[in-house]
Amino acid sequence: MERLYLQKIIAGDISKFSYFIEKYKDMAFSIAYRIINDREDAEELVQDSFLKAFKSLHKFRQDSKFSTWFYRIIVNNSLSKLNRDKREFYDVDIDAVSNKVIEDVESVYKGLTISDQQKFINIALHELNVEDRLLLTLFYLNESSIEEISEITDITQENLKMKIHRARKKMYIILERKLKTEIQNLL
Amino acid sequence: MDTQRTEKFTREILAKSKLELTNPDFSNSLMNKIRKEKKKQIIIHDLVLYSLIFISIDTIIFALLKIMNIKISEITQKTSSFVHIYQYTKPLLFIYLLAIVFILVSILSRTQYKYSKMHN
Repeated sequence: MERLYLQKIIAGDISKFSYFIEKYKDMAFSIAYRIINDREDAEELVQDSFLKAFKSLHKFRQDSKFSTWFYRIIVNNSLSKLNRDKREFYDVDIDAVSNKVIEDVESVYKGLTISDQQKFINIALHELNVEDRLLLTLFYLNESSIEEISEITDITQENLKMKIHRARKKMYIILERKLKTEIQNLL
Repeated sequence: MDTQRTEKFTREILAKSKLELTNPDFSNSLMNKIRKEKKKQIIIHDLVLYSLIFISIDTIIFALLKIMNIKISEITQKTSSFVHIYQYTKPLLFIYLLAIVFILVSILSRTQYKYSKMHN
């Protein structure tokens, strides 16, 4: 289906490009936002990236998925825009993550309303560094495979597994701290 | 907590982090930008193509001048009058002008045609 649409676009039927926009815009926005942390900038960046993808569609060899190729453009553009993330991040001791931490998080988290769950996960992601946010978004939210993420981010597959594992641990530590603070505030 | 359960829970909580574009005009404005881009690409492509045709016509004209043994440098040396030069080169200027008009009309009509095809 996608291949057929791509061929049609290259042949001049650009109306078919709207299929790709509708299919990938939200995930592209999620990835861009997780890197640059600004809604307006992320939206503009997604538009620019779609335009860039359209311009260089003839260079896309179609030996990988369109989504992998396109998310790579999104990631590269977002990182260029970000330049250098100078924000101070949470100092996280990932060795402190035990099964107990994850169980505590799960029990408190499940008692929250959906909007509070969304709030806390967004806060936790915001506290992570860019790479951790990006990897967690690609692996758990977009459900990309390790091979695809490796292609998108230029990180070796072995390294990726370790980085995702560490990012997940960091997220749980931050979530635990945030949820603890919230409970203390409520009491 | 076993790894599988942790993976499942992580997936579950990160599903809550999904963001959506709230701008309802996002797709339309993007498609408009893409149409403009395509139009620009067509014009640039045609300009290059017709420039090549233009250069080819120039070459033919110079070849004709050579065959007909008309030397503009000699004409301009013999007389400085513009009227004289014009008389000698009138037919060539006419061909030249015709070529320019042809190229401009072709660019416009081709762009229009491709653009209308693009919208259908």
